[in-house]
Amino acid sequence: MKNSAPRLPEKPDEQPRMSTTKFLAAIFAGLLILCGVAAIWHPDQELGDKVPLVWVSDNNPARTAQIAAFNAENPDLSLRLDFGNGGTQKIILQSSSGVGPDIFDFGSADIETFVESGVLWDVTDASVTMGFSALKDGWPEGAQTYTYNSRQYGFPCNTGAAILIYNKNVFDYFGVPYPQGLMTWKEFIDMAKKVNSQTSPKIGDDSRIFAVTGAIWQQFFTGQHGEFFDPDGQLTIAESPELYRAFEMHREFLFTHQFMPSTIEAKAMSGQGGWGSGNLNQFAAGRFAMAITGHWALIAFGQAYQQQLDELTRNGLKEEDIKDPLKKPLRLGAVLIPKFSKLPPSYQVQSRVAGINAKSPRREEALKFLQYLAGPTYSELLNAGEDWLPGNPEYSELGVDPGPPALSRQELQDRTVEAMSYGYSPRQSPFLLTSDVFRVIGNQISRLESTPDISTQALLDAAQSDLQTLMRRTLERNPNLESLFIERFGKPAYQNL
Amino acid sequence: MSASPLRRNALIALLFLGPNLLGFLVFTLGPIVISLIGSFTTWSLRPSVPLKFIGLQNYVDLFQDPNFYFYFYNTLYLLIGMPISIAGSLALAVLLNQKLKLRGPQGTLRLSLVAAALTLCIAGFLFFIGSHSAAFLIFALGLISSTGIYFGSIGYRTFYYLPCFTAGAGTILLWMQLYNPNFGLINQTLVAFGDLFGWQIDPPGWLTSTKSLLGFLPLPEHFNNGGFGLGAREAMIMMGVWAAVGGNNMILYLAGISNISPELYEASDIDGASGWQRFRFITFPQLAPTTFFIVVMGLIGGLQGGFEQARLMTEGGPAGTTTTLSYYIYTQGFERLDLGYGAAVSWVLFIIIMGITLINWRYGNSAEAE
Amino acid sequence: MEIRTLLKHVGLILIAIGMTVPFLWMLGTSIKPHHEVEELSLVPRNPQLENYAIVLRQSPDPYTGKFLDLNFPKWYFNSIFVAAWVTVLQVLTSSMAAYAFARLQWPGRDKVFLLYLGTMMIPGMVTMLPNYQIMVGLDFINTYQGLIIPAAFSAFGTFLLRQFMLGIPRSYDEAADIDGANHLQIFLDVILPMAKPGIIALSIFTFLGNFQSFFWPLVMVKDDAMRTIPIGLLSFQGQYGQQTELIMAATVMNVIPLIILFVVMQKQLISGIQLGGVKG
Repeated sequence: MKNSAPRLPEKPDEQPRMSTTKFLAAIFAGLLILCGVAAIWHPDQELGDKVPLVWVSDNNPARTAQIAAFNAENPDLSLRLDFGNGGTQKIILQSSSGVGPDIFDFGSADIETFVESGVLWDVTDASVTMGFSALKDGWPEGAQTYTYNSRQYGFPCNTGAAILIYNKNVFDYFGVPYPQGLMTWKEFIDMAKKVNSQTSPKIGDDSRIFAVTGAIWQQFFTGQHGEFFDPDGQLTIAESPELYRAFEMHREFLFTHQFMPSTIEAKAMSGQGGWGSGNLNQFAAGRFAMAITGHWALIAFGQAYQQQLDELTRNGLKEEDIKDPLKKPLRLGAVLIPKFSKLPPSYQVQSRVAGINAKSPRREEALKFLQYLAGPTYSELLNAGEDWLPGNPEYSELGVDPGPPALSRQELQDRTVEAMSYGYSPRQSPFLLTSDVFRVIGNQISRLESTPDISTQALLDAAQSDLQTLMRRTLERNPNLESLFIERFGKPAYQNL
Repeated sequence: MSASPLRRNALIALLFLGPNLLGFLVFTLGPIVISLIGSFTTWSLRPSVPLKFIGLQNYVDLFQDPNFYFYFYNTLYLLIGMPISIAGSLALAVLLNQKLKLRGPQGTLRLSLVAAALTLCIAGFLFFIGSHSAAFLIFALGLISSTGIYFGSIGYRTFYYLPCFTAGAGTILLWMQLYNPNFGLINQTLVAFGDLFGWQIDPPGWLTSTKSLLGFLPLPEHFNNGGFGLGAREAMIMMGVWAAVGGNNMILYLAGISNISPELYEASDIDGASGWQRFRFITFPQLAPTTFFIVVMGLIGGLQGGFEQARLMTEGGPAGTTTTLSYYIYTQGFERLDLGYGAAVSWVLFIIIMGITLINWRYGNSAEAE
Repeated sequence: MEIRTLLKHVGLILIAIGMTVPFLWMLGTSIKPHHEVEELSLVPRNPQLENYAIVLRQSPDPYTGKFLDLNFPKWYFNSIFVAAWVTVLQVLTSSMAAYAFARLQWPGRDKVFLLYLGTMMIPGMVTMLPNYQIMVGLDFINTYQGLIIPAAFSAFGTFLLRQFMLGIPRSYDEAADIDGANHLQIFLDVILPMAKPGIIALSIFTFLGNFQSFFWPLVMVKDDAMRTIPIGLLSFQGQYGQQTELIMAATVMNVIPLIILFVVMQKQLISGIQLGGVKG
């Protein structure tokens, strides 16, 4: 017995028991009052006899007008935005349990994941009976971003191909002429050396300017019209000369020329986390000379520009008074992304696609929304804002708002339309999700960035072997795919996976 | 009524357990059984995959998957932080439980006012000469020290618990800035410190680096062991210790200490025990149930940990070095839609945690034997 | 002796600063104008207290010129409402279960307890889908029940309170037993007051944990009016950028009542020690 026997409370009198029960009673009374408040406090939703539709999208400021216009065109429907509610996990979990939203947005890279999980409604036939064919109405080069196995699963809210946007202030600071026309990568490198701080950054030095930001290896890969799969769907990563070259050039940009920070470094540079928005703000703040991005980035750039102007006004300055070009408000220009000298230019088309939940009881009504996305009203609203191109090429220039001259809105729009004519989407394979391919290759890029002495071939081999394992696992669990694979490539190929 | 007292007790126990047991069966055990069965099937989020029983296939694939071992190694490696943070919590709790009053209430108040006034003057001066951030910091320092001196334990434990309030995205964004290899406060401080003594310091790459303290081990190539040094995993560990040391564990230890009968200490005072002896022979043994709880929960949490950080900070990189098993389960289940495989990983994880807990249970129970 | 106490204070203050930095940073960021958010400074050059007014919809978002479309007060209420219910129910069910595990002798007790423990060792990720389907079956999606009831039963709380109840000397219940008290009376009058430090600790953990919980509400909630604060904060995040300064302003408003609650609970903890049964 290590405890000395403690003495008891003098008397186990009524006092403590009363207080315990009273205390509990008081707590439950409080909770019941809260329940009352919860029951009363319902923000009213006036629906009337309208059919409600829920659209899960982002909080792009332009959405309010876009939704109002849709509701005006369809008096029997009431569309409501549910922002910040996306995410693959949530959509799949809710939709496969039958309680998802009616319409949701997704990046075109995720289309296979959503189709394979069965949450997207195949609208190919339904849209025809509605009297419109969204497939024909779309950009021919971008059709793959919302189709899978030639079936249509939505329509783009916006679409486009990346371009090279440059900050004129940084070019002025280095005294380098602005980029012109369609360059080759070799010309680009010569130019980039002049707009890149030569010294590697010292600790605590936050004035370092990098030449470029953006997902670089993908540009090198798609710039050569690279493919991950052969036409039959077999993986060709290990012996892909395009991917090899893309890795080598990524290495060269990162280590030899130091044109850009590594992926994680780029993430750490920004106070916002996440790749996209943080680095766009860094670019707008003059930390990069060029950015490879879709021109939807204007939404972030426009915001930064407005705030830079506000700060000038606050400090009682005029733009002309400022001598240091880096202190001036943002000035933009755009050219096509460079090409390889012996190859035609080639860019990947990407879209933000609105799809319909296959289990939604209101999916027929939701189809009207896709029709709306392909129509002139939506396209005009999109162009009036700073978003990417409308999904329907017929309206790509309808009502473009030129905005502040410094941001060259029209120039960015024109370059994007031009880039679209060189657009394509890499092939998909029935045997493997493209998102798997990107994740595995991204992992190898990360290895390259952190351990530069691994050879590119070793990285590609590792990626191929990882992906083959995933492919084998997929086939083993799906007899239909397994027999399709054996039919196409024979038994030995399957056993070799 | 001929029920034996044990049977009668079982009935009473059932009544007490009732509410919890009901929820437990519906919301916990059911889904767990489904996931166990699922791990032997082709359970998938893809409707095109027919659901069928495949025996141990998921487990066989798992043990043949070289990445599994890599992520398992990462998970274990990140556990290094656990004993450090538990020891830290215990030390803080003991420290906060000691006499912190200075010369009675009057002296305490006077000293706290002096601290406040002094720092306020410095802060005002700094603000006046234009270094606002420094002024803000000094002001905060003044606030902290005067609160701490005046309120003692309550003041300090509130400050120590702050990381738990601000947990989540905010803290993670801050640490990403602190760890920046070029501009981050940590490396700037290291280099400034080196300059002071004329040393050339090559600061660590933190989140960008695959180095680790075990980097010299001859691990397989795909483990991306980038040599000896401080890298992303150490960054994760440091962040974890920082967040945990003044958090729930410290509160539990404080609560545990407050449950120790003062008579035990009174008796030891009569025997003339030293501070260390009091800790060694009274405080620590009396805290055994608390320690058992903290260690078991730490293991459970630690082996399932690293998900939030990987998702928000590193996406499992660089080169997979911060991918833990829980992040792996997530990618397998919800990115690859392969729930059966994810469930298999979970159940392997379960067996490991259960094994360690059972060992612990033996020791824990012998320590807390009445 | 005085010097030693003073040195202790110095050490404690130094640690406190290290722990407070993120909060200070958060305060600083919450009054930054948007374009200064990226800068490493702790304090903005042009403080913008307006951020708080923007979140509370008292002034318009400077960029769009419109009031933000958020329902912050309702989210706040939802968070408190859900967390309060969960805390009370969880403390109640856990303390009862803990009593059965710690103070009663019955066959198979330790095995059942290990089973309880075991359920915590399965990552929540894999049980999410079946769990969610149960919620759909019970029609709990997008309701307060769906947020409260599954969280009201916790192996964690049971384990925690069991450990605290194990530390209470046997002689107390024996004495009460001799006085003719039944188990309910022993539980309410002897064990619960003695386990007060543990109950307070569990209340803090549960309340905070629930206030901050993210994944479950994320998938359970569909309507804007049902959101809790962490889900509501997602509104400031978008493909086109994130309004970090507004997130921080909202978080500061979110955290300050929690800190006050914490201080009050801690006071209770300390007074609980002084008034606790162990005094002669």
